[in-house]
Amino acid sequence: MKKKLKEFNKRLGNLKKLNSKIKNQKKNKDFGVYLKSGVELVSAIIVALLIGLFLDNYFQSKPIFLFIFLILGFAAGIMNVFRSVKKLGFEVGFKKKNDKLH
Amino acid sequence: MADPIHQFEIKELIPLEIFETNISYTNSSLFMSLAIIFVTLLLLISIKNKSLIPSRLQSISEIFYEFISNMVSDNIGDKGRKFFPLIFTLFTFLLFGNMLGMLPYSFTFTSHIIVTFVLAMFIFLLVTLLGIFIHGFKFFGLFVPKGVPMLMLPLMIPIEIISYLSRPISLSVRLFANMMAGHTMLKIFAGFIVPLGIFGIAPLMVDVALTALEVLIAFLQAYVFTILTCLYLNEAINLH
Repeated sequence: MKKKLKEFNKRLGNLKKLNSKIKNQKKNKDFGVYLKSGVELVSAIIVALLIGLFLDNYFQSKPIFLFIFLILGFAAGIMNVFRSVKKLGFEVGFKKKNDKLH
Repeated sequence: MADPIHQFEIKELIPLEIFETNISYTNSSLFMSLAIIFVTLLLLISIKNKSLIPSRLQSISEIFYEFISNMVSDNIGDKGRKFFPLIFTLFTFLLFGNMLGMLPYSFTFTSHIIVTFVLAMFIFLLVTLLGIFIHGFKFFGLFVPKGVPMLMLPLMIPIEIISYLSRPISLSVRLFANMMAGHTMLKIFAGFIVPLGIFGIAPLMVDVALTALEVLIAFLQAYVFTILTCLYLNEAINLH
């Protein structure tokens, strides 16, 4: 009986090791996602800045559009980062109904 | 000390000017040509003696093929098979460009933002035009997030549009910044080795470790660029 229990324990230990290995592999796969999140924030703000400056130039309304679009750009940047970190997919829009959360 | 930025300098190898536009063949163009030549040679030579049990070279090209093939079918699905040649070319071009840059005395063309930006802009325009071509006006439904109350829509739609427009910038800046920062860092640490004399062993060790990291980043950035292209194409082809 004791022998069997020991054997079972050993098998369980092996499985647990394997499981953690697989989990670690998954973590490595996510590395690319974390690398990209920093740039996401900045690029949205840059685009918003350019749009704001262009509209201000067009309508001769110096700081108004710049302010509005910088705030929107910051929101867009935060949303980009939020999406890539939450792994809701990289697409525009919120979570789909049957999307799995990893 | 050696100038760490000097390695990114564009040199005109064959000066050429047409209609007052400078289209010289530079060292950047040379390494782009080299990347294409190496990829083509690798693929051509490796399938020359086809066998069921692949030789070493043949397995390399098979790994490339399967890697991209899986990426396309996982991310886009059956409709994405048409884009396999595009994705494969993009990945191998970027990978070889990044890896050639790791050789001493070479030039990394992906460390110039104009190169990566043109690539990213090409992808962006392709995805946008493809989406409009396939789905027509419905494609702009992309900017209306699902499950958002009507009252929030005037705020959400501009945010989504900005987020969509920021793609070519984030795509290009990521690749360019990673390659340029890495190569500059290598050069700065290398510049400390000789002046420090016997203590130069410390920056030398850092440089050895950084070289390994740079090889990883060279692969990873080519991979990230390609997989994001796949995801964007997926969105344009299978609109949710």
